[in-house]
Amino acid sequence: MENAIEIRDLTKSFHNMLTKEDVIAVDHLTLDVPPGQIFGFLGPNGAGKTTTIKMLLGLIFPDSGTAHIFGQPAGEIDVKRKISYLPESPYFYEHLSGYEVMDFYGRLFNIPAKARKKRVEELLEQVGLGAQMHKRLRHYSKGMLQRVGLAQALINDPQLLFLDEPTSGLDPIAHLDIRDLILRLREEGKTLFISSHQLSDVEMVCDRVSILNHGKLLRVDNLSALLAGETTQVRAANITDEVFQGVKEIAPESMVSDGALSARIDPEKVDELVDYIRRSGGSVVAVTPVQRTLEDIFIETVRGGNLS
Amino acid sequence: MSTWIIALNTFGEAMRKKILNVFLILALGSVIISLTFTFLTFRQQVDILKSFGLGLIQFWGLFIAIIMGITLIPQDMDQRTIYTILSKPVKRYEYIVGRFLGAAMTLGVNVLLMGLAFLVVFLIKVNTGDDSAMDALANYHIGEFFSRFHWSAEIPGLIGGILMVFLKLLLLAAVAIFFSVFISMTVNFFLTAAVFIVGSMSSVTESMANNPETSPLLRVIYKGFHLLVPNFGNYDIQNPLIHPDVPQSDIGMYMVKAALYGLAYTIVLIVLGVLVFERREV
Repeated sequence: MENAIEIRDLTKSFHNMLTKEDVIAVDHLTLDVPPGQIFGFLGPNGAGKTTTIKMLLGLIFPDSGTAHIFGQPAGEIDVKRKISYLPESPYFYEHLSGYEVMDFYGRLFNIPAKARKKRVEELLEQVGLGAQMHKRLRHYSKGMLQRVGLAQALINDPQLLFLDEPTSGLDPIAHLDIRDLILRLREEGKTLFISSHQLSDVEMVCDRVSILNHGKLLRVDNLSALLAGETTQVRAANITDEVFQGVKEIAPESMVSDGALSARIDPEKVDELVDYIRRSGGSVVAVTPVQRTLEDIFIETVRGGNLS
Repeated sequence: MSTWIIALNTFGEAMRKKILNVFLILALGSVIISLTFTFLTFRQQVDILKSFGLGLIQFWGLFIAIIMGITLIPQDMDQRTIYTILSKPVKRYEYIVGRFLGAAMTLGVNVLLMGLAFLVVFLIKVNTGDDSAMDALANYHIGEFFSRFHWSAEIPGLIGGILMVFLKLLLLAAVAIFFSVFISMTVNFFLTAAVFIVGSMSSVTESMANNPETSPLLRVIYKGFHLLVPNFGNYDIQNPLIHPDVPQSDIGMYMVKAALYGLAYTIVLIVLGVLVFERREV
């Protein structure tokens, strides 16, 4: 089956006017996203996520490499009919109401008037703005604008959605609503390409995840494969600063506060850590097996910078 | 199709902006105030009104043309509205042309409203005095008002003058929009204003370019300015309109040529803007 997104060796650099140097934002990125998946595109700030999305939308142009969406070159008008985009902290024309802005975007897709009216009203209801659809956007809260953003991204019933931080700035209820909507879109067979820092959300909704840093793809795998395997949490007391330095060498993911240690470690290293703590005068309080989270994987990958 | 949708949206956005409404109200108010210059002779009052009216339409129109021209596109980029537009099936040229046409519609409506107010005030003025139509109206003699009312022979010329102001503003908006594709709003403001000032002095640059006493290098520079900078001076036909007794041969043909020159220049600027924007990263 044809991939929804196919990226080959995509590279983009920007010229820094102050330092007169080229900064590589995306570095020979190669990635496939099969259709019907929710794909999490993760990375710390400045990793190159938005730059990649902008290249896929034809807003900026790559230095080298190729990107195809449903087999057609990214940025082509035909491709844009099948996709949609929700930018981070979207801003719309404030002089329009929620209904008018949706109608404007609907017109850009040449949706006939009657069908457009129906679709706009349905979508605004769906994102919880039914009662406020005729209010001017300048009176909307950040969360309401985010909901309009999501609604406009659905106006053309897209096959592929690019969502950049879709839940940022939302209250817990709105957060939950958007997450449910994303899951509903998957049930409808849509492909979603989500860039987000909300790792708990990504863990809850994504099928496949990639981690990017400094423009390089560090890791890409199915979420279930990434989270496979357990880790162990070791808690101990009476840990001095000196002892903690030794602990860090065995368990880099550890922290200490008032002599109380909390460390995450691979099960096979538990004995070594427990022996060291006891030898050094500390007392082991608990050794508990825990499921690895996406946050663990993310931190481990970004800090380690390991390529796989 | 998208061009038209973007143009209508631009027009709607502009007409809902309070600042542009303020300009319009100020312009209408200023034209009405000119009726109060009763310390002058009647003919002087009429001449002043014509000069003042056309000048005001141009003055307030300049603000609208420059503000719209320099802000429309950079604002969309700064506020990232452009992402949600260009990620839809909208070609880049449709966006630029749509933005320009929206600005043109806004200028057209504003100039039309100011022009209508000016013509009404002008007709009131020329129908004022002893035994005039306005005198009859003041005494509630409606029938006499219509029988005494007379259209001025200067009206077609004034309409032509208003049209010339509109074409000048359209050209200026095209200059500002062209620059806005690749330079910042502040720089664009000064650059567009400079182009307008130099372009308004086209007769000066032309005479300097043809003056044998000017050094060859300066003559080339003046010639370059004269050829490159749009000739806004073409549209200053107020003088023959304000003083219709001054002979001016073929004014109609002159206006047609000026209109064609302006439209050609405007099209070239918008095409150049589109070419730059096609490769512009947003």
